[in-house]
Amino acid sequence: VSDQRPMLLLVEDDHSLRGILELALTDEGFDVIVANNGTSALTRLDADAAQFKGLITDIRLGKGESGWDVAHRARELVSGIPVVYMSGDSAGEWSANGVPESVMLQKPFVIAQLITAITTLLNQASNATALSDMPTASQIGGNR
Amino acid sequence: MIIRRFTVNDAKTVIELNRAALAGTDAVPEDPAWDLDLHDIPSNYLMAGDFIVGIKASIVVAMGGFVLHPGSIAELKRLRVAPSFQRLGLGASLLLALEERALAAGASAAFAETTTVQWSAQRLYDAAGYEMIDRFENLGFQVLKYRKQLR
Repeated sequence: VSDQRPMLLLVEDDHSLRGILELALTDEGFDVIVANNGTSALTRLDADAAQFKGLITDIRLGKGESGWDVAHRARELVSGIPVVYMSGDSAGEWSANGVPESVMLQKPFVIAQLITAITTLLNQASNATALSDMPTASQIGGNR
Repeated sequence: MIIRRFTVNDAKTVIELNRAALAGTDAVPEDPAWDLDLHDIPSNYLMAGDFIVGIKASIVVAMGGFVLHPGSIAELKRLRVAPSFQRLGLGASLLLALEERALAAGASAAFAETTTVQWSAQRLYDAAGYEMIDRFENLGFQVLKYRKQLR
């Protein structure tokens, strides 16, 4: 069992909200790398996507790539990486643009909802990894 | 902090905030129906009072409501501040906003109940000029009743 704090990539262009979320996530036991726009987030991902256990991203990030783009790139680089979207007015586009098995939090929300969302997805990802690491029936001489 | 009236989009959020705010106290009843009023705020608050939320940078950090009773008495309820945002004066701001809305709705006085284990609520009501007028037991808690004349 690893005692490392899970590393999250937090992408939010609102300075105030970014600070609040970074502090809250750190308090809850996560390490957080922040990006203030889509381009910066993609740079972080392309440099070392494997370090991130989850992605939390706003949708509208100003000029450049959107949160939808960031999440798709993250999934290309790390299959199944947990993704939580945050949005005030783009939540309705989630079913069309969101990556599978992601969560959409509509702004405004409470910190507890964000913590619950990312923790739940991380646990699901961890369980899925554990199951995929189990030997198959043929590997253990089954199916006889 | 921006204070505005509850909307239906806040429905899940206020339930989560209520739980998060009480999680650090010993004031959570065992009765599973203890927060049912928050599951239908339009009927339970907006029809006969008001319910407001405080928002800071897209985060709902505070909430509270009141119900106007016969005799022009406003019962303040569910005044909560998110744990990460306590001790910043947000509770006092929200309480003041509730009092102003209660006054506008015709209230002449307000009362609120809290428990002996909710120290921050007791401090808040004391500082805002409320007087403790009763103490009784309910759902296994020692409840304190505060009252303030608004006009």
